[in-house]
Amino acid sequence: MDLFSPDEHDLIVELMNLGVGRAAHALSQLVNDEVLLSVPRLEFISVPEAQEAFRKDLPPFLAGVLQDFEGFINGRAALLFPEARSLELVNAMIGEELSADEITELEQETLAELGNILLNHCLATLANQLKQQVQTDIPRAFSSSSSELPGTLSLYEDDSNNTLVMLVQIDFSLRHSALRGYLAFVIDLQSADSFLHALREYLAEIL
Amino acid sequence: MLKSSDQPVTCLSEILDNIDCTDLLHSLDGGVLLLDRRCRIIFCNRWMIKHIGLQEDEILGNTLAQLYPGQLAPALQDAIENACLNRMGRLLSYQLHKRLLPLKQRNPNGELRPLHQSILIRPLSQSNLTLVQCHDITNAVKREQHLRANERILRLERKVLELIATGDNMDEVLIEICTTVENLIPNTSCAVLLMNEDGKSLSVKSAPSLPHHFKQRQKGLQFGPTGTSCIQAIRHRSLVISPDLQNDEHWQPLLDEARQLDIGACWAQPVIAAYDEVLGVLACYPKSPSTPSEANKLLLQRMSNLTAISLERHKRIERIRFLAMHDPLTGLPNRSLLNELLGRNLRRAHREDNKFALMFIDLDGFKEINDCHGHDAGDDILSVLSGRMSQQLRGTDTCARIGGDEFVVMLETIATVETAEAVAQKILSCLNAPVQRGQLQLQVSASIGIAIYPDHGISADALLTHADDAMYKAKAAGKNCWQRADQSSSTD
Repeated sequence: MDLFSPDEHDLIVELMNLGVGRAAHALSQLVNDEVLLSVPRLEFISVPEAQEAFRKDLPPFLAGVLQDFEGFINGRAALLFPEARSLELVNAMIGEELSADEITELEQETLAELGNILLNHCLATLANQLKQQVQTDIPRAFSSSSSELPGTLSLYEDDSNNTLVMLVQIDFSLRHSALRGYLAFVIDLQSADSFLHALREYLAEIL
Repeated sequence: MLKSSDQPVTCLSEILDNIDCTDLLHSLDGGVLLLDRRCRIIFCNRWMIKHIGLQEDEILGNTLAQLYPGQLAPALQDAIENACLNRMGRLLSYQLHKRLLPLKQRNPNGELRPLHQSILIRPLSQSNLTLVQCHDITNAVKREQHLRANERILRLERKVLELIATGDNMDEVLIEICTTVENLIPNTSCAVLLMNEDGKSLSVKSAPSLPHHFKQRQKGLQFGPTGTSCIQAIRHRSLVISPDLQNDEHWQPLLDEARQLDIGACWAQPVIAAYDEVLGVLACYPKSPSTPSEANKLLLQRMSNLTAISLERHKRIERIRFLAMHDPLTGLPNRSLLNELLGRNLRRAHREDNKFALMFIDLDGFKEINDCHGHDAGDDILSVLSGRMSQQLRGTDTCARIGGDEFVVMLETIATVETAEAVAQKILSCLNAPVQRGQLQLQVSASIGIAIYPDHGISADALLTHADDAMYKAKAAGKNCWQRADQSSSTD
């Protein structure tokens, strides 16, 4: 999707890296250990492309955290992991070594908070840098199959003209483990205009 | 009948119109606070009032930081400000924040216990207000702890069983067992005490976190008329709990030591093997006076079972090792062990430039006893004579049975050849003395061949061959005598 110029795209990548870096700092302080996060790839895609990408690139079962947001952009953000590895992330974060087959309710909450910290920092950094406002709802942990994911994210075919998906790869690197997840921002296109406007103002100011 | 159900939507909105929202929030089983943009509490539901423990008017108008000066977790403080000012929703989970609000609740026994919680902070989109929900997750934490404890026990049990299956490493297994008990029951030290062979005293076998002198002191803990918790546990064959050592009459003589070791109580679980055999005690020593919970008791039981399996396995392996190296009738070393000891002594004699002696001993007249009085009589004679021979030797010497009525004696070091000859003479006399068996007096004699290292050889084969040859010379010389390998000599 060529909604954004290369300069605008680069700016978004830069802002996401900044947000993810701040999230990594917050997580490191929280767990008293070094947590490194990086963003190897970021792309804007349409709903059908997103559905295709989820089907092709994601493992069949996913665990994740959902959070709605509204303000200069509106929509729903999600952090997605292969389900089998989400417990590993939680355990690495809380310094436990468990082999429990199922994620318990406490771990579900911990995962929700990890996603919460990450998504809040990304959205807040985008908004603050662009001198805009954004408000987030509370996070919800979920698990679903990759075929159910579009429904979970409120991605609907018939609404595809009004929706834009920002798909961000994110690499976690902890002392004893490393894993790759995805951030998906499902943005209401009507609000994408104000996003674009804010990006252009920002670029005009620095150029 | 229920005609109103035909129009549920109308009904619901009608009902909601008539409900007092405040009442609804007050009736919730969980904490609810409403904060204004400056983080001040403008509503606090009944649950929250109860658990904060202040009057409603003392709470309203204050921020949480003002209610709990210096006690509020920084992460919670940040999250509240970020929600009230910047409108960011936030979840604070128990696992990442063990202490959020300092709320307390009474447990069924009336004791005040900290209330484990997770907190949701949600900026309300239709207003400037922020909703704070506090969930009591104490039960979920308990379930989780239970799950984790069980998983740890299972993992240890698997590890111990693997250790047991793959080899004989009892010490390692016992340390693992003690450490697990100490991990799962915090602020305790754990030890395994084993019954000594006398069956009347206990010795410490493993106590990884107790000082070394504990192992020494507890060596030979005697079974007195009363006895400490551990000895009572063995006597009663069940868990014995001494919840407070200071006030336990049986522990009065040991109080100084208990103070030094920093132990305040003792829970002693007997280790019982198959066929009800008591092997020892798994002792758990809490630092302060206390009694075990049901979960603690179950853990001690399971760990004592593992201890029993490991000890039995060790005993069996020791037994197999012994049988492989010893003659089952006389208990003397067999040919394999003799070869091993002989090899070791050869290397040592070479290194230290020592002399040592090897004697080949063959009984005279043994076959006749077997033929006339039966094999039982022959076996008895062999047992008695083995005992007599061993008594003539120093602890470092060896007497091995290498065939039916053939023995080899190795004197570990000798100053002169005459020493060996004197021992041979003593052996001749002891073997020649009659053996009383019921009404019967049985008597044999022996022929002994002596070879000296290094005079008659420097290898095991050469020495054994020379001693064997000398023994035949003794037989030829009329039996009941000894011969040296290189010269003939008689002692009759």
